[in-house]
Amino acid sequence: MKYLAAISALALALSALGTPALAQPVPRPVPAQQPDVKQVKAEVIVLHATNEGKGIDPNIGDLPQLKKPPFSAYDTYKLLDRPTLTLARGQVASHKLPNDGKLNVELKDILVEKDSEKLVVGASIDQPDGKRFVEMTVTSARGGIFFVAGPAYKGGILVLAIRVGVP
Amino acid sequence: MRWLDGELDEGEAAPGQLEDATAARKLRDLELVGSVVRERAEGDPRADGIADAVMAALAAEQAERHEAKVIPLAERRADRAATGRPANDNARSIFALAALAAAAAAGLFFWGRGGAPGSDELASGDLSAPMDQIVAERAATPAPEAALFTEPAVAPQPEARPPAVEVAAVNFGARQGSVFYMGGSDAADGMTAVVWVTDDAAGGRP
Repeated sequence: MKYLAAISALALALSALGTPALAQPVPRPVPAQQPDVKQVKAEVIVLHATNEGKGIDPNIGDLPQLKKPPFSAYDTYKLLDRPTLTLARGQVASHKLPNDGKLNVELKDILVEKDSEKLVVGASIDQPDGKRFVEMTVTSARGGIFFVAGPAYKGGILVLAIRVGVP
Repeated sequence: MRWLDGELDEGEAAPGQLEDATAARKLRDLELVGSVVRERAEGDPRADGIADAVMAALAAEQAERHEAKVIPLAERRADRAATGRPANDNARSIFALAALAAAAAAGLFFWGRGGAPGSDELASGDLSAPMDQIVAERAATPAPEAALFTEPAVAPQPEARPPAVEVAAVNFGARQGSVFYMGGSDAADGMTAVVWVTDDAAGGRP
């Protein structure tokens, strides 16, 4: 029994030593500052992607991503629309799409960490019948661009390039 | 019935029902049935076989008991005394378990001290460093072709850059979809995100 007591005490001591090593102090997230920004603008580039062998519409501008995967699955990109939406915090801005669906964009938050500012943007696409097609939340620097692709349209698909925080 | 089988005690009176015609008929029937059963039972060889088998089994069991080794109790106690351990001594087993627990605790201790890369950086309070490191590693490793549709893929980049756009959450609903990260127009741009939804009406994946 003496051995048992000694070994148990040793095990408890080692466990006590090991516990703080496993439970490293997890730093609490620094609360982001809330800048006094009421609204930002978002540019939406609506493209029609097909495989008609016609290349990329020069009116689209500088979007080199269209030449790389996964966009290279289509060889023809035509500019259909280029609206600019004003995003107010907590309000949804909508825009009708060529397939009678609807794009919804919302400025959810603005995060300031160190010297960088991040826009938290919610985006969703509704089908023509009103059902939700896809929805997402992205975090972007000002001027950052993200793409949403997939809705079927006239033998191809719609590709939306959304650049947030444009001047 | 007992009268027929001869089981009546001496004091019991013989039944007077024999005078009754119905009782006399029942008695004759019983005698007839009894004689038939006796004939068939005596003619069946299995009856003797069962008895022989039971007796043989009993004899075998008895012989086995006689062959068992009998250990005198005094001798048994002497052996116990020579080993110095009581019959319920489990100290060695408990000792082994305790040693195993101590070894596990020591292993966890050293693993916790040196086996968790990045824990020091987390403790320093620099939140951006681990995420940047993860993004840099993912950007430097081209995603295999088969994994493009199972998890967000990162296109190979010449150098690691902080992402300009990150997808925090996406809901494809009942459809299938993928999230891609790819480079921007020039080195100054960060990575951009592509949310690609597979619309069956459009013909499938990219």
